[in-house]
Amino acid sequence: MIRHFSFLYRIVFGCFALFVISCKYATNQDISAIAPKMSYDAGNLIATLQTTKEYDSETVIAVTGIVHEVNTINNRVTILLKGNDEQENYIICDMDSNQTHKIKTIQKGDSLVIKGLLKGMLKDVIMLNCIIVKSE
Amino acid sequence: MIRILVIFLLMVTNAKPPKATEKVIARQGKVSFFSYTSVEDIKAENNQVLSVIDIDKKEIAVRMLMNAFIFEKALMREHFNESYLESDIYPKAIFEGEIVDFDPTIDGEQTRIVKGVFTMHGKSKALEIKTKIVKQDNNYMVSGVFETFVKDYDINIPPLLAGNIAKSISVEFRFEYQPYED
Repeated sequence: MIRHFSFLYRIVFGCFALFVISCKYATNQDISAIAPKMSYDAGNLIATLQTTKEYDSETVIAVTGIVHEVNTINNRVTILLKGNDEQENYIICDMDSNQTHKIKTIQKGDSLVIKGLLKGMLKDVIMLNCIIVKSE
Repeated sequence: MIRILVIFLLMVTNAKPPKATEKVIARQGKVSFFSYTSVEDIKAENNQVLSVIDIDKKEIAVRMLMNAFIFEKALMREHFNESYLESDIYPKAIFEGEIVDFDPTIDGEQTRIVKGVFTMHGKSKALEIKTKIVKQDNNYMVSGVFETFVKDYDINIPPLLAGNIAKSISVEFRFEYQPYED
């Protein structure tokens, strides 16, 4: 009986260890279940990040904007959301691989809400692991 | 007097506004690095690297966010950003340099040396990189590979993990530029 429990304990512990290791070594961060910390209009996000260096990178945010371009540069599916008319900056959204089917119907000029992991800003705002929340 | 007036008028009418410097931009440049050891191979890529070339001045600038590198394993990304590169303190890496003997009138391919300074993790290192430049329809593609040493950037790797990370890192880059007005 004790031997049986010992074996069961090892199995349970082994499964738990495998779960912990697989979480640690997960290759892609799926953000679909994470609620965005903040929601922005594309123009406002660009303006905000241009004026402050104090922002929460590595947080999930939602951005509403108009599609400027959909491209596959570097074999990555990327959507560029444009800011205000006077801004020459974009939101670069590196799309999650599970979004491929949704992207086929996206065109320049579409209005989208995209959720993604905010990384920061160079000339453009950079977001990774992006998913389309809403398209119009 | 009339002659002076005519010369003056000719100068004024022939005067052209200074030509705006021609620039090209790559918003989604790719930089990858590879570390090969007997213990493990580490690869990562950043697909949102910004680069601008001033064609007239033959100057090139590159900027990248260190936290935008994608790794095969989340733990590698965590170590890279938190322990080695300290991306919260040093969020960007920057390269600024000059394309030696660059001739923008050449259509097609030319191989040139790019001389400049690469700053990462708060440390700057002079680099000379052999670079392939391809011009097609006023768009440029710039690519190359170079080796750099971890020790040059004051990156502390715990002795326990020293065997996992190569002393020399191979860096590969590829930028596709489009015309750009500043």
